[in-house]
Amino acid sequence: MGKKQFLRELNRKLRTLEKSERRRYLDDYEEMIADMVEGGLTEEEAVSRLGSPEKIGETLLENTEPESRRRIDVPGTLLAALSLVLTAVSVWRYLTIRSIFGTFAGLSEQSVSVIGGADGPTSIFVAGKVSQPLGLYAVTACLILVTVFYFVKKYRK
Amino acid sequence: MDAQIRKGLLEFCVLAALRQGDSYGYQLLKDIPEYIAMTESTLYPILRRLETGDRVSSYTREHNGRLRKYFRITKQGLDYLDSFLEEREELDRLLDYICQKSEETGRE
Repeated sequence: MGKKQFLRELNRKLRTLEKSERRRYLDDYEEMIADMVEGGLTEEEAVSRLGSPEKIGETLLENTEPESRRRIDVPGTLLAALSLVLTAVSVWRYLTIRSIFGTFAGLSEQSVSVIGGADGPTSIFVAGKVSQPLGLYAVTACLILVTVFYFVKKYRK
Repeated sequence: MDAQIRKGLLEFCVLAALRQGDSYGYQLLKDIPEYIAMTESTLYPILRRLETGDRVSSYTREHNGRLRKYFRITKQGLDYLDSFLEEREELDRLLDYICQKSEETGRE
């Protein structure tokens, strides 16, 4: 087996590790092979001396702290998903209310609106609040802010 | 031997080896004797753990047109090693007890 293939297979075996940890081990092995070659072995001999990438990967994983494993970011994914959903709902509500009641539905409350003529079957009465749901928008904005802060903090590290 | 105990002891081996001077992967493996049974796949995680714990620091130097990573023991690493050595007496007493009780005739 040549060096490239060895490193490729080792990389595959280590895919459950965080990228930086995986990179570190691959660099270590590449350095080791180079040193072994400098010591007089051929690349093939060095690789065969090291052993199978399967076994090496297993041992490395066994001996590496669990914190270095790649994890699905549950809180991050949840925040992002919720923000997306609330944003979609907010936009939909806003556009729906605007299209039905026009700009009159702005910030003021209207308890009844009439669509169409005030007579006959074309009239539609809407009772209840028809103003923009400011509460929903506020919550959505807050959630978006929290999500942004979360990811900024995470990748600032 | 319990995996945890062996891991811990091997860490001290690496620290002790680095006490002699900075070194790099290939050199460390050459210096650590065969009977200690250290391989690349056990050495690198140990070095990683020591570095995360600030007991060892690393730096890179160019060598023959490529980069080589050197490791150096830190003050914390030295303290850690020394405090382990201070506990050597207690360790010996514990081992003696275990051996002694195992040699006496008793339960098989």
